[in-house]
Amino acid sequence: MLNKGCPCATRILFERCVEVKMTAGIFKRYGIYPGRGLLTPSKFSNNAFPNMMSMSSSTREDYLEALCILSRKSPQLPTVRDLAVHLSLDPSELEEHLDIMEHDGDIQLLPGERIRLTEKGLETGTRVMKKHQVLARFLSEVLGMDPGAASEEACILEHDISDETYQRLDWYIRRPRRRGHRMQMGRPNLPTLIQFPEGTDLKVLSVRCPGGCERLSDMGIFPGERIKIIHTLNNKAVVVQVKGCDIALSPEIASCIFVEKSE
Amino acid sequence: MRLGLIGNPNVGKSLIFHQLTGLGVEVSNYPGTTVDLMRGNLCFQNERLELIDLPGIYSLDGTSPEEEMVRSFILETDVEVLIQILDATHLERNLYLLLQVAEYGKPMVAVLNLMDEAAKQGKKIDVEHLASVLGIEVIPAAAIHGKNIAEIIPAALSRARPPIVQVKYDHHIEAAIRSIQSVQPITRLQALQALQGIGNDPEVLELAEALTPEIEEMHRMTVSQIIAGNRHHCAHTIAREVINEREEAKRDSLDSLLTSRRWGPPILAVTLLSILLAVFFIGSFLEEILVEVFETMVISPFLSVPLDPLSQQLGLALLLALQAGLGIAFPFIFVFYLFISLLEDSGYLTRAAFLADRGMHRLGMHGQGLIPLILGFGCNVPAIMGIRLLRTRRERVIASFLVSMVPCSARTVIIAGIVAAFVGILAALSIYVITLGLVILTGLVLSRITPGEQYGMILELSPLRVPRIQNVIAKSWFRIREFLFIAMPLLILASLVLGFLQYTGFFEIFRQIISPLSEAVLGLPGYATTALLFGILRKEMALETLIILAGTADLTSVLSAGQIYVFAVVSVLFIPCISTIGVLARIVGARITLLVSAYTLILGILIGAIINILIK
Repeated sequence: MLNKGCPCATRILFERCVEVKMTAGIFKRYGIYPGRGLLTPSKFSNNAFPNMMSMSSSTREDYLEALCILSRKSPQLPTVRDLAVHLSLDPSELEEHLDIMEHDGDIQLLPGERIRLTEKGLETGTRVMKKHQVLARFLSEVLGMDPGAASEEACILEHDISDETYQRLDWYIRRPRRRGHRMQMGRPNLPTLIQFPEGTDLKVLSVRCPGGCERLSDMGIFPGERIKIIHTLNNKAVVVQVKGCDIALSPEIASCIFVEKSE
Repeated sequence: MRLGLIGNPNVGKSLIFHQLTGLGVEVSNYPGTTVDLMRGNLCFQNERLELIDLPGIYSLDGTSPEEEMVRSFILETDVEVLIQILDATHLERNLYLLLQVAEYGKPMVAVLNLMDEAAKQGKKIDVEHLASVLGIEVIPAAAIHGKNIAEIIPAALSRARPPIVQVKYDHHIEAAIRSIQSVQPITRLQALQALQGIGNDPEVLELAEALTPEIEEMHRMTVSQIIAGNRHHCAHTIAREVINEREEAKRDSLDSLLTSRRWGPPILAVTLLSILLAVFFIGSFLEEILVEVFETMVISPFLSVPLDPLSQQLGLALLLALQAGLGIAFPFIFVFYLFISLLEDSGYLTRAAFLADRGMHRLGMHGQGLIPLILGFGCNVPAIMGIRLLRTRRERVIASFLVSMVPCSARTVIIAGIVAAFVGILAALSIYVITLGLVILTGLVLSRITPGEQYGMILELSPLRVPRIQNVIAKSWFRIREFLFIAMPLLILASLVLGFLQYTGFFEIFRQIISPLSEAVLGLPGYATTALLFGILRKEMALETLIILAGTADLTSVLSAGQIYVFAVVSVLFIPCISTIGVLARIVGARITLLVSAYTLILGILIGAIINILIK
């Protein structure tokens, strides 16, 4: 997945996530949501719009999250079209929902089909976005799931997780960075370079050097790159082949390069 | 007009520099750093050009002193054209640096060196296509055969232009660049650097700092990693387009043997030991001949010329200094540098560092620390300069202690000159054993008590090549120049002062003061301690002074074997010479320098006293 064609792991995460949202979008139009079975009528259904299709909280959260991401991407306000493209829906399908959201004070619809998030909308959107990130990180870094699958799972869980669980997870993920030895590198469950024998072909998953890892990146050791172990010494110092060059690493450096076997 | 040579380490940059400039090379420090900068002048079509060989680097965004220096050099000085040297056998990694250099928008030409080796590996590089992708002229070359080297300067003068190639960064990075630029009037390059925490403007840095956590959270990588990834991707795409018939490079079986877990360490130990022994024996052999020739050709004729006592004393001091200096420089230092340059050019030195990683960890350093330690056997001064390559202060502090204790050529002269000559070869070698044992002990202790954290080795193993003898000699010559032109004048001056002091009878007074102490602690006569003190100026001067003060070159007639041995041990161990102290102060600061001097002084006297008690 993360071959040379795409040096940026997250771009794929994003695409995966959008994919899920796309399929989810089809279901959501019929009120069906993955991971929670059939939905009970939304508490957001509003009496002022008795004939209007009600809007579930997770759809609303998906929209607000998407708007948050979009407004961070570019300095201009996103248009309805941008939102539709991001969610892989048809613009006409959005209109009803957007009207409800405007009525509820989540967004403001401006001329030129531009959407501005209100303070309340921004807060909800940011909260969901953060939950997504924390969940995705927890699933991939702590539980060792594939980053793509972790992001998909996070797309589903982000709507149901309670604030307390979210905060505790967030704290749990952040803590290892500040102290502790076992957890210091952030990915205790992933194998590191020193665990493989000579001659293994590997793919770098992440690099967490305490003293900064610019030199490693410059030499070509960065997430997504394929490397090969050439030699190991008794003390676990290794020589790896990266981009046709042999690079010698001390054990303490090798042990913060997280890898998986590559076929 | 000013031209800069830039490139990764080990791409043949220095060789091209020497081929272009010939002998008129001057080495200077870039202001504010201790990084060496080589400048050379050349004339082309009646125009005077200054060519600057920048240190080999992997990146322009790094934090090592070299990388920072090259970055500020390109930004701040009026270098007009950059000549980037690329290694055709590792094109992709070299393009990574080129893409960064391109962002500075300076006119450039690229030299694709090592085309001969690439051809041997079955790589065909489409040079024209590469030139059109990069938007600059690319000159295929093989510096080792001098092929196409003559084309570099004309191309740089008439056809250099800013590259058109540009890296496409991740959209989050691009968005962040745009938003920084919308607030602050800075260039794209400055914004990109600010995101990586590089720059001087605190406002811009603060702005960038506010943007980065968001991006890092989303990508789960640092901004530097994302940017590096984008650049590597771009370099990879270009490399794949222009290289045909890419075969898997065959691995050298010699390389596997040299770095193998089983045979690597013994081969390393044997190699280093045989170099030290070879230098010791070849050095003492050559020194004897040199000194003998100097004695009969210069000193004896001088002594037979009738002169007044003062001029005779000063003249003799001058000649003795020359004799001592040349007697050390060529037999010991030059021979040692020949071996080291041989190791370096063959690519073995980096493998030695890898193999030594484990042992060096025990001493509180890592593999790369081995190189300054080995260099220290030649002369401590360049070795101390070499410790700035270590990345943390803790490692530099430990290395400065250990390197200052390594017996350099000048100390070898003492060991070989008096202990081997008057006491015996085994006794001479035992001084090495004692010194190295103390180096290791000091390292073991320091690694426990020195504060700070350790950062490991990240070292590229240079490819194994058969060294070319001209290059080895040129390199050794280049290294010894430092000794000849910096240390020799100091040696001569100090020697003149010494001669003058002896003439005025100052030594006699000093000797009377120090005698009781010296005899009680070290069992040495007062003049020997005076000689030891002069060893601080230059180590081998201890020997020279001893001979002058004893009034005879046949030391056995005035000192016992035990006294000679103690004298040698103390002078080898105690206080590094004045040049080393100067460099130490520059690299690690006055406090550590003082600590090193005090430690070695106490250690020297202590060990001397212990040996004195033992042999009584």
